[in-house]
Formats: sequence, structure tokens, C-alpha cells
Amino acid sequence: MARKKKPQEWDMPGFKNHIAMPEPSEDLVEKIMADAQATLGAASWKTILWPFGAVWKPVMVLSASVFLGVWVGFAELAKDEAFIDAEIEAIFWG
Amino acid sequence: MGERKKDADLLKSAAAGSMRACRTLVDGHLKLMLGLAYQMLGDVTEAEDISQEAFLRLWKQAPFWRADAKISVWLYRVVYNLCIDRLRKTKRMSGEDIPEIPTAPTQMGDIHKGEMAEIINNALLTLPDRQRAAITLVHLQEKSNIGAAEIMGVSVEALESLLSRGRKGLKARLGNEGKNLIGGL
Repeated sequence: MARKKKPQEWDMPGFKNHIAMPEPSEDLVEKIMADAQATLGAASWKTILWPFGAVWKPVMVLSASVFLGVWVGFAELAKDEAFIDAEIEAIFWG
Repeated sequence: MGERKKDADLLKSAAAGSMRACRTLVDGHLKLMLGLAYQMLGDVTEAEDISQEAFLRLWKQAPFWRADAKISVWLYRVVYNLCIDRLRKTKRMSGEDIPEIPTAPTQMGDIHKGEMAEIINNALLTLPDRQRAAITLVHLQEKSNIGAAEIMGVSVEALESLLSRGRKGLKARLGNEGKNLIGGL
């Protein structure tokens, strides 16, 4: 059930007219906007760079894995070549 | 578009770095925030500090904002809580360091309108802080009882009680002429 309002008791006619509310100064608005720039301006740069950060890490890991694989592969190949060279030398030169 | 959705969209843009969205939010809410802080603290400089702090908290909160939350209520609540904290720190809570109560004039016509504003402001400042907040929110900022109760974190019944006591307090402080301003209580 809706509450019964008592208009006479709740109304304060004239009261508001006598109260002066301060107007926000330009200086205050500028300070608040400077805070916004410092807080959200930095955040927006993070937002822009975030995808690069997100891509950068897996790319680093993948690159490192490929490099390691290739390096180990070449090392093995070099070892095999050295073995083959040694075999050839043994055959020809005893 | 509802106010809540519109504000949430603005804050989303603000979180993405749109200064235009920030400015729209400031233009839409600052005056009322400042008004509440001023009525609570009675000092423009302190009210400005509080308003700036409230908006700084909003900017910090912007990237994590929940779409269902209402910015105006959130800001009012931050301002209210910051004012209460400041009043506690400066020991100006109800009953302590009460400003001098001005003598109510015998005739409204005897005094200038500016003086009347000062007398009413001073009378408001002598009220306990929660009563002052309730009167400010409902009678000066025209919030509904439900809205004001939400901001102050009290039940509607508790708010009505604060309003009733606040009006009686004001009437007593303003004397007979207060009846013309406050109406029949």
C-alpha cells in the first residue's frame, strides 16, 4: 500500500529561494579535468597498447622456441657432418 | 535512453580516454555535488576539495564501472561520506564546536534577502550533520525520500525521522519567521 504523503508537512516553500548554492568555478572544473587527464589519459594509452602487450608475449615465447629448435638442429647437423667427415677421412687415409 | 545507461556510456568513453565525456559528466553532476558539500561543511573551499576528490575517485573507478550502478547516487554518496569524515576529523560533528546561532529577526521585512540567506545557512550549519544532509538532499536538491535514503545509506523511515527532526530544529533556530519558510510543522 502506498504511503500517505502529508504535503503540508513536507513542503518548504520559500526555503530553497533563500539558500544560495555556490556555482562551480572554472578553476575547479579545470582541476577536475586535469585529474581526469592524468588518470584516464594514462589509462587510455594502456588501453591502446594492451593488444600489443597481449600479442608481444606469445610472439616472444614462440620466437625463442623456434630459435632454440633451429640452434639445436644445426648443432646436431654439425655433429653429424663432423662424424661423416671423420668417417670419410678414416676410409681414405686409414 | 535512461540516465543510468547514458551515464554508464559516458563513463565508458571516459575510461577510454575521452575528455569530452569527462567534461559532460562534470557539467552534469558537479554543481549538485558542490551544493551538498557546501551545505554540509559551510565552506566553499572545503566543498571544492571534496567535489574534486569525489570526481578523482570516479575517474579511478571508471574502467571497472558496473553498468547497473547510478553515477549520481554513487557521487552523492562519496561526497556525503567524505563530508562526514572531514567533519569528524575537524570535530565539528553535532554538539561539538557549533557555530554561533544567529538571532532570528522579528520581521522578515527588517532584513535584507542576503542576510536571510546567511541566517538560514548558519541555522542549517547548527543542525546535526545527518539532519543537515537530509534537509539539503530533500529540500534543496529535491531528491526523493527514497533517493536521499539511498545516498545516505539509511532506511526511508530513518530519513523521514531525520527530516522531521531537522525541520523542527530549523524552526526553533529561525524563530517565528521560520514558519514562513518551513511551512506549518
